[in-house]
Amino acid sequence: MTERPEPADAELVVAAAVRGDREAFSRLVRRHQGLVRAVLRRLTRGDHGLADDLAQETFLLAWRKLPAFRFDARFSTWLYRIAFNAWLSEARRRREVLLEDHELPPEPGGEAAPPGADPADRVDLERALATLSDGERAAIAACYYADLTHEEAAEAIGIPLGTVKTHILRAKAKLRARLEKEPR
Amino acid sequence: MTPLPTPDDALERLLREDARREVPDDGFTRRVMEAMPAAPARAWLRPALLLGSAALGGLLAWLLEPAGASILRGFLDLARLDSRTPSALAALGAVVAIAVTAGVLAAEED
Repeated sequence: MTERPEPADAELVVAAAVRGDREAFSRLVRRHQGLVRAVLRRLTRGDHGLADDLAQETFLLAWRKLPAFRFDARFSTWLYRIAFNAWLSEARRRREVLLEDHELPPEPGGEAAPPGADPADRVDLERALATLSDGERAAIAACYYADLTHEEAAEAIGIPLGTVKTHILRAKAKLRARLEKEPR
Repeated sequence: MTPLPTPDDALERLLREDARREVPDDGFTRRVMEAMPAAPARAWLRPALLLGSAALGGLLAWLLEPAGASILRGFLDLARLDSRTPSALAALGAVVAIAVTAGVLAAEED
Protein backbone atom coordinates (compact mmCIF):
# COMPACT_ATOMS: atom_id res chain seq x y z
CA MET A 1 0.00 0.00 0.00
CA THR A 2 1.45 3.37 -1.00
CA GLU A 3 1.40 6.22 1.48
CA ARG A 4 -0.29 9.43 0.46
CA PRO A 5 2.43 11.98 -0.39
CA GLU A 6 2.80 14.97 1.92
CA PRO A 7 0.48 17.71 0.70
CA ALA A 8 2.12 20.80 -0.74
CA ASP A 9 2.13 24.08 1.16
CA ALA A 10 -0.48 25.52 -1.19
CA GLU A 11 -2.89 22.68 -0.47
CA LEU A 12 -2.48 23.09 3.29
CA VAL A 13 -2.78 26.89 3.07
CA VAL A 14 -6.06 26.59 1.17
CA ALA A 15 -7.43 24.05 3.65
CA ALA A 16 -6.46 26.24 6.61
CA ALA A 17 -7.56 29.55 5.10
CA VAL A 18 -10.81 28.49 3.45
CA ARG A 19 -12.05 25.73 5.73
CA GLY A 20 -10.32 26.85 8.92
CA ASP A 21 -8.65 23.42 9.02
CA ARG A 22 -6.44 23.51 12.12
CA GLU A 23 -4.83 20.17 11.37
CA ALA A 24 -3.62 21.56 8.03
CA PHE A 25 -2.25 24.64 9.77
CA SER A 26 -0.55 22.48 12.37
CA ARG A 27 1.25 20.65 9.56
CA LEU A 28 2.39 23.98 8.13
CA VAL A 29 3.71 25.02 11.56
CA ARG A 30 5.57 21.71 11.96
CA ARG A 31 7.02 22.03 8.47
CA HIS A 32 8.21 25.64 8.77
CA GLN A 33 9.00 26.02 12.46
CA GLY A 34 12.65 25.12 11.87
CA LEU A 35 13.21 27.91 9.36
CA VAL A 36 11.30 30.54 11.34
CA ARG A 37 12.99 29.71 14.63
CA ALA A 38 16.46 29.50 13.05
CA VAL A 39 16.03 32.89 11.41
CA LEU A 40 14.73 34.45 14.62
CA ARG A 41 17.58 32.93 16.65
CA ARG A 42 20.00 34.70 14.33
CA LEU A 43 18.07 37.96 14.45
CA THR A 44 17.85 37.92 18.25
CA ARG A 45 21.61 37.27 18.59
CA GLY A 46 21.04 33.72 19.79
CA ASP A 47 18.35 34.46 22.39
CA HIS A 48 16.45 31.19 21.93
CA GLY A 49 13.69 32.06 24.41
CA LEU A 50 12.88 35.37 22.75
CA ALA A 51 13.22 33.78 19.31
CA ASP A 52 10.65 31.10 20.21
CA ASP A 53 8.24 33.70 21.64
CA LEU A 54 8.53 35.67 18.39
CA ALA A 55 8.16 32.48 16.35
CA GLN A 56 4.95 31.68 18.19
CA GLU A 57 3.71 35.24 17.58
CA THR A 58 4.64 34.80 13.90
CA PHE A 59 2.52 31.67 13.47
CA LEU A 60 -0.45 33.12 15.38
CA LEU A 61 -0.33 36.18 13.15
CA ALA A 62 0.03 33.96 10.08
CA TRP A 63 -3.13 32.07 11.11
CA ARG A 64 -5.04 35.37 11.33
CA LYS A 65 -3.64 36.69 8.04
CA LEU A 66 -3.85 33.43 6.10
CA PRO A 67 -7.03 34.40 4.15
CA ALA A 68 -5.06 37.39 2.81
CA PHE A 69 -2.21 35.21 1.47
CA ARG A 70 -2.31 35.59 -2.32
CA PHE A 71 0.35 33.07 -3.43
CA ASP A 72 2.39 35.88 -5.00
CA ALA A 73 5.39 34.59 -3.03
CA ARG A 74 6.45 31.31 -1.49
CA PHE A 75 4.67 30.56 1.77
CA SER A 76 8.06 30.45 3.52
CA THR A 77 8.92 33.93 2.17
CA TRP A 78 5.61 35.26 3.43
CA LEU A 79 6.29 33.69 6.84
CA TYR A 80 9.78 35.20 6.87
CA ARG A 81 8.28 38.67 6.37
CA ILE A 82 5.94 38.19 9.31
CA ALA A 83 8.78 36.87 11.48
CA PHE A 84 11.06 39.72 10.46
CA ASN A 85 8.39 42.31 11.28
CA ALA A 86 7.72 40.65 14.63
CA TRP A 87 11.43 40.89 15.45
CA LEU A 88 11.59 44.49 14.20
CA SER A 89 8.65 45.55 16.40
CA GLU A 90 10.20 43.82 19.41
CA ALA A 91 13.63 45.32 18.74
CA ARG A 92 12.15 48.79 18.30
CA ARG A 93 10.38 48.43 21.61
CA ARG A 94 13.75 47.81 23.19
CA ARG A 95 15.92 50.21 21.21
CA GLU A 96 16.46 51.81 17.82
CA VAL A 97 17.19 49.28 15.09
CA LEU A 98 19.46 50.33 12.25
CA LEU A 99 18.76 48.50 9.01
CA GLU A 100 20.23 51.03 6.65
CA ASP A 101 23.87 51.32 5.83
CA HIS A 102 25.01 52.49 9.26
CA GLU A 103 27.41 50.89 11.65
CA LEU A 104 26.30 50.14 15.17
CA PRO A 105 28.51 51.61 17.86
CA PRO A 106 31.27 49.13 18.69
CA GLU A 107 30.55 46.80 21.53
CA PRO A 108 32.55 47.18 24.71
CA GLY A 109 35.89 45.49 24.17
CA GLY A 110 35.95 46.26 20.46
CA GLU A 111 36.89 43.23 18.39
CA ALA A 112 37.22 40.97 21.40
CA ALA A 113 34.82 38.08 21.96
CA PRO A 114 31.39 39.06 23.33
CA PRO A 115 31.08 39.52 27.09
CA GLY A 116 30.94 36.26 28.94
CA ALA A 117 32.67 34.29 26.22
CA ASP A 118 35.62 32.22 27.23
CA PRO A 119 38.46 32.89 24.76
CA ALA A 120 39.56 29.30 25.20
CA ASP A 121 36.20 28.06 23.90
CA ARG A 122 35.64 27.35 20.25
CA VAL A 123 34.13 30.44 18.70
CA ASP A 124 31.03 29.20 16.99
CA LEU A 125 29.22 30.84 14.18
CA GLU A 126 26.29 31.84 16.35
CA ARG A 127 28.53 33.99 18.52
CA ALA A 128 30.23 35.50 15.50
CA LEU A 129 26.87 36.30 13.94
CA ALA A 130 25.78 37.98 17.15
CA THR A 131 28.51 40.59 16.70
CA LEU A 132 27.13 41.82 13.37
CA SER A 133 25.02 44.96 13.08
CA ASP A 134 21.24 44.58 12.90
CA GLY A 135 21.18 45.23 9.16
CA GLU A 136 24.00 42.78 8.44
CA ARG A 137 22.39 40.10 10.59
CA ALA A 138 19.00 40.67 8.95
CA ALA A 139 20.56 40.31 5.49
CA ILE A 140 22.48 37.13 6.42
CA ALA A 141 19.37 35.64 8.10
CA ALA A 142 17.25 36.39 5.03
CA CYS A 143 19.69 35.18 2.37
CA TYR A 144 21.18 32.15 4.12
CA TYR A 145 18.71 30.99 6.77
CA ALA A 146 15.44 31.90 4.99
CA ASP A 147 17.02 31.12 1.60
CA LEU A 148 15.72 34.29 -0.05
CA THR A 149 17.30 35.88 -3.08
CA HIS A 150 18.89 39.30 -2.58
CA GLU A 151 15.86 40.87 -4.27
CA GLU A 152 13.39 39.01 -2.02
CA ALA A 153 15.47 39.94 1.02
CA ALA A 154 15.50 43.62 0.05
CA GLU A 155 11.72 43.58 -0.29
CA ALA A 156 11.15 41.65 2.93
CA ILE A 157 13.51 43.78 5.01
CA GLY A 158 12.44 47.00 3.32
CA ILE A 159 15.86 48.29 2.28
CA PRO A 160 17.41 48.88 -1.15
CA LEU A 161 18.93 45.94 -3.02
CA GLY A 162 22.35 47.63 -3.00
CA THR A 163 22.22 47.89 0.78
CA VAL A 164 21.44 44.17 1.09
CA LYS A 165 24.48 43.34 -1.05
CA THR A 166 26.66 45.70 0.98
CA HIS A 167 25.41 44.18 4.23
CA ILE A 168 26.17 40.65 3.00
CA LEU A 169 29.68 41.57 1.84
CA ARG A 170 30.45 43.46 5.03
CA ALA A 171 28.97 40.73 7.23
CA LYS A 172 30.97 38.02 5.52
CA ALA A 173 34.17 40.06 5.84
CA LYS A 174 33.52 40.49 9.56
CA LEU A 175 32.64 36.82 10.06
CA ARG A 176 35.72 35.71 8.16
CA ALA A 177 37.94 37.99 10.21
CA ARG A 178 36.44 36.82 13.48
CA LEU A 179 36.54 33.13 12.62
CA GLU A 180 40.13 33.40 11.38
CA LYS A 181 41.16 35.32 14.46
CA GLU A 182 39.81 32.65 16.77
CA PRO A 183 40.11 29.42 14.77
CA ARG A 184 37.57 26.67 15.35
CA MET B 1 44.13 18.10 -8.06
CA THR B 2 41.37 19.70 -5.99
CA PRO B 3 42.28 23.24 -5.01
CA LEU B 4 42.31 24.06 -1.32
CA PRO B 5 39.13 25.83 -0.19
CA THR B 6 39.48 29.59 0.10
CA PRO B 7 38.38 31.29 3.34
CA ASP B 8 35.30 32.53 1.47
CA ASP B 9 34.35 28.96 0.43
CA ALA B 10 34.79 27.80 4.01
CA LEU B 11 32.60 30.58 5.39
CA GLU B 12 29.99 29.98 2.71
CA ARG B 13 29.94 26.28 3.58
CA LEU B 14 29.76 27.04 7.30
CA LEU B 15 26.78 29.36 6.80
CA ARG B 16 24.98 26.92 4.51
CA GLU B 17 25.56 24.02 6.91
CA ASP B 18 24.36 26.07 9.87
CA ALA B 19 21.26 27.13 7.93
CA ARG B 20 20.49 23.52 7.04
CA ARG B 21 20.80 22.35 10.63
CA GLU B 22 17.45 20.97 11.82
CA VAL B 23 15.77 22.81 14.68
CA PRO B 24 13.95 20.06 16.62
CA ASP B 25 10.28 20.80 17.19
CA ASP B 26 10.45 19.96 20.93
CA GLY B 27 6.72 20.64 21.42
CA PHE B 28 6.81 24.01 19.66
CA THR B 29 3.99 23.12 17.24
CA ARG B 30 1.83 21.90 20.13
CA ARG B 31 2.40 25.16 22.03
CA VAL B 32 1.45 27.22 18.97
CA MET B 33 -1.72 25.19 18.42
CA GLU B 34 -2.67 25.53 22.09
CA ALA B 35 -2.16 29.31 21.93
CA MET B 36 -4.44 29.67 18.91
CA PRO B 37 -7.73 31.48 19.46
CA ALA B 38 -10.76 29.26 19.95
CA ALA B 39 -12.55 28.32 16.75
CA PRO B 40 -15.29 30.84 16.01
CA ALA B 41 -18.90 29.71 15.75
CA ARG B 42 -19.84 28.46 12.30
CA ALA B 43 -19.31 31.34 9.90
CA TRP B 44 -22.71 30.95 8.26
CA LEU B 45 -24.63 30.97 11.55
CA ARG B 46 -24.60 34.69 12.24
CA PRO B 47 -25.67 35.89 8.77
CA ALA B 48 -28.32 33.15 8.72
CA LEU B 49 -29.72 34.32 12.06
CA LEU B 50 -29.77 37.94 10.92
CA LEU B 51 -31.42 37.21 7.61
CA GLY B 52 -33.86 34.79 9.26
CA SER B 53 -34.84 37.39 11.86
CA ALA B 54 -35.34 40.02 9.16
CA ALA B 55 -37.46 37.62 7.09
CA LEU B 56 -39.55 36.62 10.12
CA GLY B 57 -40.03 40.27 11.07
CA GLY B 58 -41.14 41.07 7.52
CA LEU B 59 -43.58 38.16 7.50
CA LEU B 60 -45.07 39.18 10.85
CA ALA B 61 -45.38 42.80 9.71
CA TRP B 62 -47.17 41.63 6.56
CA LEU B 63 -49.51 39.31 8.49
CA LEU B 64 -50.32 41.76 11.26
CA GLU B 65 -50.51 44.99 9.28
CA PRO B 66 -53.79 46.93 9.68
CA ALA B 67 -56.42 46.26 7.06
CA GLY B 68 -55.96 48.38 4.00
CA ALA B 69 -52.34 49.20 4.82
CA SER B 70 -49.40 47.82 2.85
CA ILE B 71 -45.68 48.43 2.54
CA LEU B 72 -46.29 49.70 -0.99
CA ARG B 73 -48.91 52.13 0.26
CA GLY B 74 -46.40 53.14 2.97
CA PHE B 75 -43.81 54.05 0.38
CA LEU B 76 -46.44 56.05 -1.52
CA ASP B 77 -47.26 57.89 1.71
CA LEU B 78 -43.59 58.55 2.30
CA ALA B 79 -43.25 59.86 -1.24
CA ARG B 80 -46.00 62.34 -0.39
CA LEU B 81 -43.96 63.27 2.72
CA ASP B 82 -46.66 61.81 4.96
CA SER B 83 -44.76 59.70 7.46
CA ARG B 84 -47.44 59.47 10.18
CA THR B 85 -49.67 56.80 8.62
CA PRO B 86 -49.38 53.17 9.87
CA SER B 87 -48.29 52.10 6.38
CA ALA B 88 -45.55 54.72 6.24
CA LEU B 89 -44.32 53.66 9.68
CA ALA B 90 -44.28 50.02 8.58
CA ALA B 91 -42.33 50.94 5.43
CA LEU B 92 -39.86 52.97 7.48
CA GLY B 93 -39.44 50.05 9.90
CA ALA B 94 -38.75 47.67 7.03
CA VAL B 95 -36.15 50.02 5.55
CA VAL B 96 -34.39 50.41 8.92
CA ALA B 97 -34.39 46.61 9.49
CA ILE B 98 -32.89 45.94 6.05
CA ALA B 99 -30.29 48.71 6.51
CA VAL B 100 -29.23 47.35 9.92
CA THR B 101 -28.98 43.80 8.55
CA ALA B 102 -26.91 44.99 5.58
CA GLY B 103 -24.67 47.02 7.89
CA VAL B 104 -24.02 44.10 10.22
CA LEU B 105 -23.29 41.75 7.32
CA ALA B 106 -20.94 44.27 5.73
CA ALA B 107 -19.10 44.65 9.05
CA GLU B 108 -18.81 40.86 9.27
CA GLU B 109 -17.26 40.75 5.80
CA ASP B 110 -14.52 43.18 6.90
